[in-house]
Amino acid sequence: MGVSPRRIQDAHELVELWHRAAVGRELHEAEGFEDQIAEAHAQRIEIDERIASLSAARDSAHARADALGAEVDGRTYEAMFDVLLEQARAVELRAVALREAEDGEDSDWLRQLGSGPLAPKLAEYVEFRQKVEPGLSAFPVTYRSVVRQHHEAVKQELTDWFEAQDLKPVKVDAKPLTLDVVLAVDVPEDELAVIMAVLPVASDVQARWAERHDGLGMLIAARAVEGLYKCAHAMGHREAQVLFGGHRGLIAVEIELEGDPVDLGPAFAGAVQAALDRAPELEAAKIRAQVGVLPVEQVLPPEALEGGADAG
Amino acid sequence: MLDDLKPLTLGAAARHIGVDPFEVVRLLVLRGESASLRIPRSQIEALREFAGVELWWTPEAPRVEDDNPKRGRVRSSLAMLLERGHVGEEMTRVDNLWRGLPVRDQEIHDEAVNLLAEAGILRLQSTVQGLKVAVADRDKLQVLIDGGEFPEAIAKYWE
Repeated sequence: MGVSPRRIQDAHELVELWHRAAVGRELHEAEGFEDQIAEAHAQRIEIDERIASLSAARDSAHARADALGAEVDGRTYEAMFDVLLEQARAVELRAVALREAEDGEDSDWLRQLGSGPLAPKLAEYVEFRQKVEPGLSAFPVTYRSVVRQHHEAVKQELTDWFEAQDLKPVKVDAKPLTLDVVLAVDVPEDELAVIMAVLPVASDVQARWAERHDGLGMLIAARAVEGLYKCAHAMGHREAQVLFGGHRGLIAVEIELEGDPVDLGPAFAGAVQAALDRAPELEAAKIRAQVGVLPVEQVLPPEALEGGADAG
Repeated sequence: MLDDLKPLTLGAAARHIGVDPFEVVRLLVLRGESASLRIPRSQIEALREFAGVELWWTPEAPRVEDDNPKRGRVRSSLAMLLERGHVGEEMTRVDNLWRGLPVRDQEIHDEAVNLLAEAGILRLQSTVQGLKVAVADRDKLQVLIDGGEFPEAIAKYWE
């Protein structure tokens, strides 16, 4: 008797067994992938968070960089005024040296006058100033009048003599001093252009001129103003007026004009530079000045820019 | 001592003429005489005349009676402006009104003139000779000279 052949059902069961086992293996593997996917998701969230954090840090750095750009004008404004104030102090020192040199030259003039034909007039003049004038008020009016009249005649002879001399500016024995003069052009909407200049000269030179001896600062400021007027006049604005003010201890001047703001800066800078370059008294004092045009944002104080106010 | 004999510095010339040193510079530039900033004494009178500088506030200047001295001086200056015929096109340098007065009075005058110009009572004009002024409304100015109330914005300067 032989072995019974397998039944179809047996074959089905075998296939079923194989299928169950194979599916079990694959599902087990799928579970493994599921874990890895969950782990990858978690990592992705972490990476997204890190990207967001890094992006925020990058944006913040960009914002800070932009803010630094905006700060340049303010810092330039501060630095520029510090430099000009330092230069103004150097001008005051040079003014002392100039005054000493002028005193020395006065001694030479006194010697020259005292040994020439006007020597008696000089002696009379000096005697009046030193001995007669201090007590003159004690004398009767008529006497005072006669004495003063005579003194004025003597003085006139001496001043005539000085006017006839070819008086050159007094030379200073010192190192050359190079200064900066800053110009800017502001063009408020629907208004005249304003040409501004900041000078390396203490504001007291202008504000308290009546109480001060004319010094080097006055000469520097005068030459800068000469340049401004020459340029305005050359443009046909002969009625133009320079306005003065002190800003942070320095002389600040401005002049209002119609004109193309693009051309005004270089034109005025050139004229001021020429006036300073040609000044014989500044050359003798070994002063050189360089005129530069800066953006108005670097010349006006930040609060003036915010409020649209004038310098000064 | 030689400063009194040598050609004048800008400051000294300014004192002689009765303006500030930078106005002297402006005048020198206009006259083409700015090569030297030492000004011969012989040029001073010509510069003063060229600029139209006058001294009104002499000891003999007429005074308008006022119980407030600062306001009185402003009234007096305005009266002199009118009496000297500076009306309409007959303008004069604005600083002629206050030359010779103390600095504080000059500042008050400056403010008052500007405010009266804004009010249409005076007229200001920038000219080659400098900033000039004339009476624009004679009747209104006369009221102020005769004791009328100044606008509040001006009055605060002498209160």
